[in-house]
Amino acid sequence: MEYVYEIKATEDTPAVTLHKTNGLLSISGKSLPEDSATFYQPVIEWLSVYLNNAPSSTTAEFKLEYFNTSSSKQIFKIISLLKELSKTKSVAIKWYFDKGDKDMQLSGERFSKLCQMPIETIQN
Amino acid sequence: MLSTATYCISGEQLFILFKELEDYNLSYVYKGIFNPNLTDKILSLSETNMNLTGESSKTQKKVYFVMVETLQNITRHQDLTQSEENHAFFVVLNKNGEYSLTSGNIIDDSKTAELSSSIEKINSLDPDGLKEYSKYVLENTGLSDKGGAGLGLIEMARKSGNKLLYHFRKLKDNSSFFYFNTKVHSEKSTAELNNSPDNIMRLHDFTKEHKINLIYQGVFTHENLKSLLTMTEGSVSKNDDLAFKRKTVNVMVELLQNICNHASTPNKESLGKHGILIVSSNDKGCCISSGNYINNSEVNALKQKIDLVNSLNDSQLEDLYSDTIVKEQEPGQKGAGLGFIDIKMKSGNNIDYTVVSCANSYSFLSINAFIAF
Repeated sequence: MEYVYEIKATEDTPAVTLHKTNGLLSISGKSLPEDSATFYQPVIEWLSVYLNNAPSSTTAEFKLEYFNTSSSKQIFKIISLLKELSKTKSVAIKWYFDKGDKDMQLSGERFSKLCQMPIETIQN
Repeated sequence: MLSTATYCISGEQLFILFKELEDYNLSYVYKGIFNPNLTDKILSLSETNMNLTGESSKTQKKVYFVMVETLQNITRHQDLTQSEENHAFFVVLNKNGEYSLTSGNIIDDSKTAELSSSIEKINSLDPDGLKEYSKYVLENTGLSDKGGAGLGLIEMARKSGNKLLYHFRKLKDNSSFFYFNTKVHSEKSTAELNNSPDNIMRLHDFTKEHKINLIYQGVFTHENLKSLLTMTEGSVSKNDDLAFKRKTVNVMVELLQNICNHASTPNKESLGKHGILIVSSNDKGCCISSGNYINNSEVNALKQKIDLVNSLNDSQLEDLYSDTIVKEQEPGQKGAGLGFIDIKMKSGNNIDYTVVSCANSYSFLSINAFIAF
């Protein structure tokens, strides 16, 4: 696996950084791709491999401005994988939202409940 | 919860408008405040459409030039002190290679005579005369106080190869609404597009009556969607409420991606998914309306989906969301099946829809979502 995997942000897709040594996963910006499954496939593949060889602690950061419902399905998959990892390693998930963006805050709380996984919601 | 139907254009009215515009390859109407960012998005929206219809680069350049000049004229001459009803207005229509670009803005009656005579002078000249006149103006006049060189109109006439059309519509209080239209023909243009002032004024009245900020009728692609989203984000941003702006964009994404994924195109050679989008706003909030054809075989399933979402309270809606997100997508399924749930969650209001039965086993579906301030 690649140690560092990066996708640059576009007008409608987020910046993604996956850093194996540092145990960092970061997704930020707008996630409105036409085909979310295809966009997130390499991220999910990378993460699946990472699970078997992860460092002792992992931090995942979500700093999203917008995401469409097809992205939410993929984010759910990513958080589910992180939950899997949390059974053997330490995992911290941070979900950022802009001041006043209650929907984004609620989304973080909803994912936490859905995946039964602690997610820290943090105001930017 | 507010009644979505009360604040939005009715499905029947949306269908009537769609039928009027349907024969155009593209119709785009904007009423509101113009700025360079909006201009960029209108240009990129038109570019995407011209590429889709395979317009020659020569025509594209002409349209582009006239559009830039038209939009810059509006940006310069719009009167931001006016009430929303009198905000500036812009229309692009394209029918089989014939383009009609119209600007509309309020003007003081003391200026109409001079403006008419400038346009009449331009219209009286043949191409050689225009070339001479352009050179003369370039050498002999300074910039006007609004930053224009007076050359814009001459160049629009030269580039388009057509006479400039204009019309003053008298308003109260020593002012008029100035409609200004330029036509551009492509080499293969086959249509005779109706750009009469009456036609444009009817469209303008329709936008005023229904408090419409934006109409887009044409092909929906993912590329277009990005331009439409940024435009809407800009047009609702006069309201500084971040949550409201985000809700509006979120709801619009779901409605537009629905058109991209599910619209049918019964009558046209398919260049993509055909539909209409309207953004309107009033003192209570903002309404996003979408319309497109669907196959009759899909109508019942769709109605059931929306009716179910509308019947649920907040906690039941959360449960449905949870049940749906964990489901694996079926092969060929576009989208996550969460769109309507998300629209109701974000807007906080029921989804209003109308299905009008059309010929050849197709129906026209219109959907309204209303986001309160």
